[in-house]
Amino acid sequence: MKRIKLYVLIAATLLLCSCTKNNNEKNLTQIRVAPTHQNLGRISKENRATVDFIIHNIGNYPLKINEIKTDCHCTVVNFNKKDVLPGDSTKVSLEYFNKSYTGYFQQIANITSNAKQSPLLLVIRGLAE
Amino acid sequence: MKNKYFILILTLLAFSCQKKTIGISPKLSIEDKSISKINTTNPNSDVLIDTEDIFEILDVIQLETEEDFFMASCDKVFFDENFFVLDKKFSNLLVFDSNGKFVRKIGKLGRGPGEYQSINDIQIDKASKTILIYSLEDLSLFKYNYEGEFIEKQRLDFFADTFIKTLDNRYLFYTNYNTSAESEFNNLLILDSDFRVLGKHLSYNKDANAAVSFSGTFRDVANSNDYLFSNALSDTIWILNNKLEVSHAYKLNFNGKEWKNGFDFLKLYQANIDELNYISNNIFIDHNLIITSIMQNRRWKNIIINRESTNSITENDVTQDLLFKIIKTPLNLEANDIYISAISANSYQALIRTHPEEFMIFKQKFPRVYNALEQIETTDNNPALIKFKITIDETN
Repeated sequence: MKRIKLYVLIAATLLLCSCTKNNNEKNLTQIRVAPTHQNLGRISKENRATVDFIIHNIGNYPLKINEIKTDCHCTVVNFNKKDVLPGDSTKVSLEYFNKSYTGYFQQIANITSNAKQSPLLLVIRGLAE
Repeated sequence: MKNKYFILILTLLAFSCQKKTIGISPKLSIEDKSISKINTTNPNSDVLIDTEDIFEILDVIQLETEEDFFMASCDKVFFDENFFVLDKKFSNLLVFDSNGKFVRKIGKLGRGPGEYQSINDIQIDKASKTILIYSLEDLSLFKYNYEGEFIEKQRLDFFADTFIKTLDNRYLFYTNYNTSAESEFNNLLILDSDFRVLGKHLSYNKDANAAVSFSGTFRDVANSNDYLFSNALSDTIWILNNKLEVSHAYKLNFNGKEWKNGFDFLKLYQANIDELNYISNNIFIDHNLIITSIMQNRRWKNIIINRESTNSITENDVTQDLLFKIIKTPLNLEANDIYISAISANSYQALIRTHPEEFMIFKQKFPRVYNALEQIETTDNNPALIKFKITIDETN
């Protein structure tokens, strides 16, 4: 009898795990960001340059931004970690500052989320003088 | 008693008769006679070689995309009627025609069918006219046809850095010290065409720590069945045959300033940077030449090694006109011994800033090349591909 209970327990756990996985896949939302590339133009290397990207949740599930990584310490990202409800939008700000570099630059921010469009790359470019 | 001494002497004699070997892993070793030692430290002759005598620039192809879509770099290039160009920074695999006009993009970032989370490496299979994309984030290999239509996704249960599809349809995945249940403590995983593990190779010690940004390399030797292998921070390039046996090695002489501590990264971060000389992981080898760059005396330096004579040419041996620096290490070898290299706008502008006098000489000596690179001189345009030939005779 105990063995049967054990089997039932294992089967229920496996079922629960498979359901959780399916739910995760179903909970993908859709986002729209336009544009994903922004040109900061000419900037002084002594100054910080900030640019905002607006991410619209156009899907049916809350948007959860897991992580935003940049590829250079010269680019800092600011964003609201709260979930974005369907129909709402959120702002992601990228701040570029590199006192030791002059010339053209291209930096990216890589956003991982529960959106179908994950990962999403945001690109900033410009000319530091 | 006498017998004991006799056996001891015999044993010592037997060991002393063994040929001296060096090893890159417990499984691989090579006899000293199969190692070519390459001089890197000094100019090889008193007279500078004119870069015009070495490089013949055939064409400079500016890659052109649409207005709101641009590239950061060219990390890998294949050619089969069109150019297949990997831009790792923007996770794009792009196809251009032979004039550099944008044709299409292969796949895209995302979670849908045929969409990948990252691009870590690509290969094209000319026989089946297919493109393979390896994505570490997806732990998968994606296959597309040349027209960009998604064919299939193959899940892999290990971490890798780069891969090669061999002529006999095996897959060689270089794990770069990423241990997994499949690869265990081996840097090379060999898979058959159905992605079953055939073998593991290039074993490393369990205490090796790859949690750093340095990477070794494993790639094919152009137009041959051979492969090349080099550890991160190493002074040696190993040539392996199709059976993955070491057939030769090239050991670069850094005058005792090579990095001797392998993967002891604690020592690395305490090291005197002058003692940190090594080969980059961007190495190109064909039948005749090895072309790579080396970290020496705190700066990168390009080097061409004649495989037959083992003579080498570094930037110190050529006229200072920026051409060698622009060409760097080729990314591919086409038919008729034509090499393809690439330079991004950022790299070109950095060269101009850091070498203004050499740039002026380059401008005067190579007006055709200079004009062709005009679009990346002052703008943040896409990279340009450079097609060229190399002439190295025995005296070089």
